[in-house]
Amino acid sequence: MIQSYNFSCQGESHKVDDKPCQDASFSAVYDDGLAMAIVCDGHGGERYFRSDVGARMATEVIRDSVKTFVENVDKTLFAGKPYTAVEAITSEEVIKKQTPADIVLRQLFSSIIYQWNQKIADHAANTTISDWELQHVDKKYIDELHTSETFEKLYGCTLMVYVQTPDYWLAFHLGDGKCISFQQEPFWHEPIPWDDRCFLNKTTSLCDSNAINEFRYCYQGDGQYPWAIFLGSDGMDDSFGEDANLVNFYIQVVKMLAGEGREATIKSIEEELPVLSKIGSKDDMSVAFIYNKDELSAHISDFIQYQIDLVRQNIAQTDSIVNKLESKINSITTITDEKTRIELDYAKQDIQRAHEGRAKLLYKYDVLMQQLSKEISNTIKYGKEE
Amino acid sequence: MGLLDETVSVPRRTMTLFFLIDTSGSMEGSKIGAVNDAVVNVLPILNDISETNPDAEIKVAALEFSSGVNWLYDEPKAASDFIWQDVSAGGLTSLGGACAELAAKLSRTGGFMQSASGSFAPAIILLSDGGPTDDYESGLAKLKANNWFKSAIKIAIAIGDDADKDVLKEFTGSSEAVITVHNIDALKQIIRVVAVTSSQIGSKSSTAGDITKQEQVIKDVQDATQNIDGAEAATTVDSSQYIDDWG
Repeated sequence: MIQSYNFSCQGESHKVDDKPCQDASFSAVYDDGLAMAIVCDGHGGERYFRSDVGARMATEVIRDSVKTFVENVDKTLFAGKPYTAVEAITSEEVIKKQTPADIVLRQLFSSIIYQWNQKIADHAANTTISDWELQHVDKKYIDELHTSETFEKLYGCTLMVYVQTPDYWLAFHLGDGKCISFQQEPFWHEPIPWDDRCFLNKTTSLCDSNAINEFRYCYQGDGQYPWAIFLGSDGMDDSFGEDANLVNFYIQVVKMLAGEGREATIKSIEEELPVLSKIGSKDDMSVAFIYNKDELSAHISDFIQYQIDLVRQNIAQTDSIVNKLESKINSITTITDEKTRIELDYAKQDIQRAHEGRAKLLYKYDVLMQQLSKEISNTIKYGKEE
Repeated sequence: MGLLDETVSVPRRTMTLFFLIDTSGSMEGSKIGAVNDAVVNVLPILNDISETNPDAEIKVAALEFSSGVNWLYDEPKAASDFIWQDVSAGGLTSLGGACAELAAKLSRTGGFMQSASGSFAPAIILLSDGGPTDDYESGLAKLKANNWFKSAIKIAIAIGDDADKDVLKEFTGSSEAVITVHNIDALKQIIRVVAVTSSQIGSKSSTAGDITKQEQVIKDVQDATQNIDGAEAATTVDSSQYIDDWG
């Protein structure tokens, strides 16, 4: 059973600055088997003062364009095809080598850009300047609405999309944020190629003049589908730092979906993402995901085991660090100068922190082992009842 | 089970402040003494900024360069932990070597940086009183190709009129980011102002208005410089109303 969910909330820094949530998200599962998840993230600078509108309009345009695309495209272009990933175009030579699948996807992207430009042009022409805009935005940017040929910058946003049909799935991305999928092998990955131009606070954008070449994408039609796929705005990945932490959070969502049900999970996401923004990135937060409930239930032990393996690795790394520090401390037999004394103090301090970190990892390990044990017991009990 | 329970890690975001310090022979005496004194005194302030800042933790790294290059520690340290080891002067000015070494460490692979997600762009403060004696252009070229460096806040402190301000301008990307000091007190004050301002602005989630963090740091440092006797934020590299006085 395929299900979907999406949620966006105002970031902590936007609350402080009295800015609206500039993220928008959408998800749906339709009767014909089409499932879709979208996350759009409006840019945060003062110039992009209507990026919340731009992001909302982008989700609407993508939703309608994708539906039309899926209804009309020759599905044999994707059905039966292995996992294929295509990077953003940086050379015109690449365009000459495009496959029929690349060509129809480029038409979809072109249509999205065109319709989004139309929508924001209408909005710019027909929407009066609000009191909030007059109070918060420099006049030079407001003037750009009607005088500049690049007014679309004011509405700039990123986009990230996952589409699943009974015959194939595809995903595309322009800008930052992270898309993480879970399946048999590899257990998790980022299916859409990354674009190195998205770095720290810089991102490619739907408002770029060359946006059509900034789309990167992937598709697969050989019957393999993700068990679950998560789309998160950069507010999410900036809160977790390393990818492993973000993946671990999504596994928590998966475990909750399987263990406590959809309603409890939704309640928790809606309560905890604003908290995450406060303790993490301070940015707007968006997540949209599609999941196969049956696959998650069948593989929940794999998710817990993955977390356990990760904690084991971290414990091993910590032990290695402790060993090195102990060797360093033991090698200092006499303190001959200030530098040696400082190095010794650092080593002692670091070893204490490593022990504290190890204790926390052991606690995590115990919690996860208990979860795994409970899951195995339930499986055995369920099996016996059957 | 909660989504943010004990099995989930939400690390603090980090911003690393780099000091690149010229320890060539010409820095000997009062100049290097002032640098040592100023950095020791600014570390507790950086710690205060880090501890009271909900957005990010500040880490500090320091590279001294003369005939060779040397990191004070083999990893950035939290501002609260950083113990300054006085640097001494002697030798040549291997700025190119320092640039290449910095480029190597502005990386995740064998370097000082973590994932770009969860990190803020670093702030880099370069102090020099002379001109490079090595092939600085190839080192600087490596640095300029580095994404972390491109995004970094970059400020240079030219110690006296013998500092090669054209090179410092090349390093920071603009003459406005080069502050010249002409006496010991000005040097100490400017190190403090630049380190504090870069850390405050660099470790915040957002900047005021639509200017970059680099522009905001330059503006704030230039404003502060007006009140420091013997310091000048030259809009033109050659203008100077001061005569060097190094006691």
